[in-house]
Amino acid sequence: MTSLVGSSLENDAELQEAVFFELIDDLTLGLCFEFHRSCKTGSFFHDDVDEETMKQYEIVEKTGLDVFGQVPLKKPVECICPNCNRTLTASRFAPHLEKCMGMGRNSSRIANRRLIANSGKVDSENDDENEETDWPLNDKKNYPSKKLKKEKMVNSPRRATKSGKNKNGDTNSVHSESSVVSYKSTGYLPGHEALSMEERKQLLMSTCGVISEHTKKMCTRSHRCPQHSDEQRRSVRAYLLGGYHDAVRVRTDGNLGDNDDIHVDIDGYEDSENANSFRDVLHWEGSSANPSPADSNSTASTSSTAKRYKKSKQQRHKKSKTSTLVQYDNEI
Amino acid sequence: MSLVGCPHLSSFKASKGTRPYRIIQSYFVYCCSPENRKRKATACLCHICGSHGERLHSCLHCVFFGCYSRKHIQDHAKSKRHHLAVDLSYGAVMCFICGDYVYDRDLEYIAREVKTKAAKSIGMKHALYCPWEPTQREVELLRKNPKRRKITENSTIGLRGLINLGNTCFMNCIVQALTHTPLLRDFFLSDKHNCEQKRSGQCLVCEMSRLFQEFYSGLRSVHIPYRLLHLVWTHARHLAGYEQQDAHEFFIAALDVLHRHCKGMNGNANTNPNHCNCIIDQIFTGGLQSDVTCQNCHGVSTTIDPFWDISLDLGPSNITPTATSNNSSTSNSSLTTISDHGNLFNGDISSSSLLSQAIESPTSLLDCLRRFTKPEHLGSHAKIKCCKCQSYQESTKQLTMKKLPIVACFHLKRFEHSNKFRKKISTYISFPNELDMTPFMSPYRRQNGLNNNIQEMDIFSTSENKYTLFAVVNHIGTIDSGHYTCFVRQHKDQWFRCDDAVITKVAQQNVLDSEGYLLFYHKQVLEYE
Amino acid sequence: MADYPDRKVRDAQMRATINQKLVETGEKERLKELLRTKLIECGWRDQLKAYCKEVVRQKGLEHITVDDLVAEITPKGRALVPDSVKKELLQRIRTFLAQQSNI
Repeated sequence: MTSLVGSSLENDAELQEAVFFELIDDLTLGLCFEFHRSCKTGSFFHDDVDEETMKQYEIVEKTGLDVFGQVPLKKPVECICPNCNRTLTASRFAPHLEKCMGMGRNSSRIANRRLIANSGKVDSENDDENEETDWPLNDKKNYPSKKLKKEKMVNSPRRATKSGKNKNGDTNSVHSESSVVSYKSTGYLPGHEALSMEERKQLLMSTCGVISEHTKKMCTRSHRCPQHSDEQRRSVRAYLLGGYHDAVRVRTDGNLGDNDDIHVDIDGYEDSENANSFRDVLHWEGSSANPSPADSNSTASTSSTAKRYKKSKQQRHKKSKTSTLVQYDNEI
Repeated sequence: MSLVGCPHLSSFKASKGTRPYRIIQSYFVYCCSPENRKRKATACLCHICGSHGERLHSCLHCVFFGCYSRKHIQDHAKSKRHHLAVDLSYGAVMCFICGDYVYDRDLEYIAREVKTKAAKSIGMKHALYCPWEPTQREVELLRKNPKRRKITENSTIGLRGLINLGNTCFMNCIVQALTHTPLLRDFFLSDKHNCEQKRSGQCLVCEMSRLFQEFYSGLRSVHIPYRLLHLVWTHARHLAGYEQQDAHEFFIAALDVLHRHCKGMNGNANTNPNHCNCIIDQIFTGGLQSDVTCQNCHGVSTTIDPFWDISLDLGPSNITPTATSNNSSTSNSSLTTISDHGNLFNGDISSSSLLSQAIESPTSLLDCLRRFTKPEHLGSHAKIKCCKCQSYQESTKQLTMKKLPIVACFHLKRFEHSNKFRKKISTYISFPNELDMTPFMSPYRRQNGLNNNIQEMDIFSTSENKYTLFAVVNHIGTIDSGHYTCFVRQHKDQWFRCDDAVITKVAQQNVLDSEGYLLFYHKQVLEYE
Repeated sequence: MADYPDRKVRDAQMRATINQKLVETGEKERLKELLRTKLIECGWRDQLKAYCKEVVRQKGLEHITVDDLVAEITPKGRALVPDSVKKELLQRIRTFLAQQSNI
């Protein structure tokens, strides 16, 4: 029988087509069973669409109108703030919420405290006051009620703050004396200032913590956050914790730019009893052994040397994790 | 009507049980072993005319094969009064007294079991296709609610404008991209999120669920996503603040919160801390392989990290091109060596053009991905202790895709922040409608040395790694001020531009010609798990 | 065994042999699964379903039989396969045949 299957079969288009149609017929038969069965169970027509109803959803393609055939909305819509239950214009919700939640640069120290105390509600007089006094801090053209169009254009990934703090010309200067002064002089109150030493410690144990030079907020990603370097993390710890910094450095202690130091670091860290017990206390591994893609590794191809050090150092720590991941990969 | 077969099948089952069916099913319909397949191949022929096609059936009462098309099985049934026969393609049961096929729950259960086993035995990695079937309760609900809305070529269902809450276009864009992610849509619209803290109002996944219902409800008015903003800010405090407005950052943070909330709901978050099976992970998480190769012993150290997005550099590369000559000897154990790298791009790109591309700025998404997956020399300042030769050596590092996510998000790094300057790179980067990720996959390891070609060829090999573009987020303006808009795809190649509250139809070419900041691709073929 | 009265018989023989090989190797199930995925993707299944609905409406939900459906949609099934899918599958079949001839 095998002799029948000669090399000529590869070229016999008719035969191949016959095989193909056998397969098609077989699949068609399968569909017949499926449809017949659903007739018997009573679900065959359940995906039917009512043509009449569908008519009202037809797409409109006319200049000046959107797909629904509507003229772009003019009248303001309102929403209720989930935080304070006040009704307000939707287009002003974000700036309101920022203050209402006590976040961002417009927030006051009081609002921040209030938040920590978990009171949740902002008392309305105070809020109104803020609204009036806070706006002038922004560039005039941003005032939403005046020029909605312009306001839209303010969006950018990292909008420049107009504080002039960039004149330092040093991204790592967040912790330096001069920039602290500049926060105060411009009236910005970074959230971390309201935190007690204990709270700071707590925060820095689980998060990256680097203070954004634009927003003055602390980065809440994990220690492996790719946006900031270990150097930055070390600096912010030095700044926020002062002397306590030594204890919290654990993973962020890679001394960059000096080979000798790294050798010590790699060999010393894992085996150090101190480090281990400390890790237990802090649940350190809990956060790093469970990597979140939020700490995107995809930026790893940057040419920054800092990152390379970090990566290579982590390889040892990652080993166990890697093996499980590989396994999981095979399962899929 | 339920699946109780027919009286004739019932009485057969009562006297002989389901065993005859199971035997036919596992020997002649879905074979679980090579021996059975061999037997089926030679024995499954019509006993009358010898044909193999023509809808062959097996008698359920005795050993007899007969074809249906030429009525040979019918003749057998009549003469022997064997009224039940099994179709040998799918295992459906024919009752000649009733004159039609009958469906029986017990037998179907057996069929499914055998079928799954059989699929595994021929090396099909994924479960077989099995059509969705409404439950009894769902059938009732469907009957009571006969009006269906469908996304068709010319319907606006699934489209909804979003109010700008005050510089929140960055969020609106991500919402549009998420609500038009096919698999995510299917998840939410089929009401798959079972929240444990439904009443708390704190769960972002619940809010997403509501959002999807809003989008696909057929309503035309603008939606106000204020609750979403509130929840995201509540759970991702570092975003709260209205001047921090990067769509990419918001996307990652939103996924992070959604992922955390999914975990909380499962209750089994502790079972495997490294792998969560939540919908966010299932759709968005890929695995990035990093191979560090020691320049001394060529030992490779491999790590795999999960990722949600790929950030791609756009500026001219200042990295010295990797020396591609020092790879003559490769260690046996290595998964990826530099020499493999040449194979990744065999054919169209010579190694010299690769080198030149490393210096020039990329002009296409493929350029960016090539650069991303190119081995990078770590230089003499970055010596690493090699775990093979136990010495500190220079090394190269290469990133490759170990596992592709269902939705791949590419982030073009258009915003540069360095010590000296901050600027937006507005260069045009072309991106395709269809993307094949195969060249960027970690080289495929052969599982066994046997040269079993058919086993090796995955049935999806031709389209396994192919993606289709479904959303593009654009940033208009400068680094200091600007506006985000989003293009989303719906129903094959219908594209819509979402500019906050205003949705308009656009041609696909407009999308492909746009600058591009975040590019969302969806896998074309999904495997059943 | 050397002489066949006509091409038809010979073809039938060959198809039987090929079918045997396809079943034996499991390739038949693999091809079917691949084809199924492709056909669902390109809308083939939806088209056939729409057509089936017409048939069922005519004959009545209670009375429809598998035979009715098979008779009505088998030709449709063949006709509606997109060329690209057919081409890809034929390529797979060719590859398979080539491998078999090496045995």
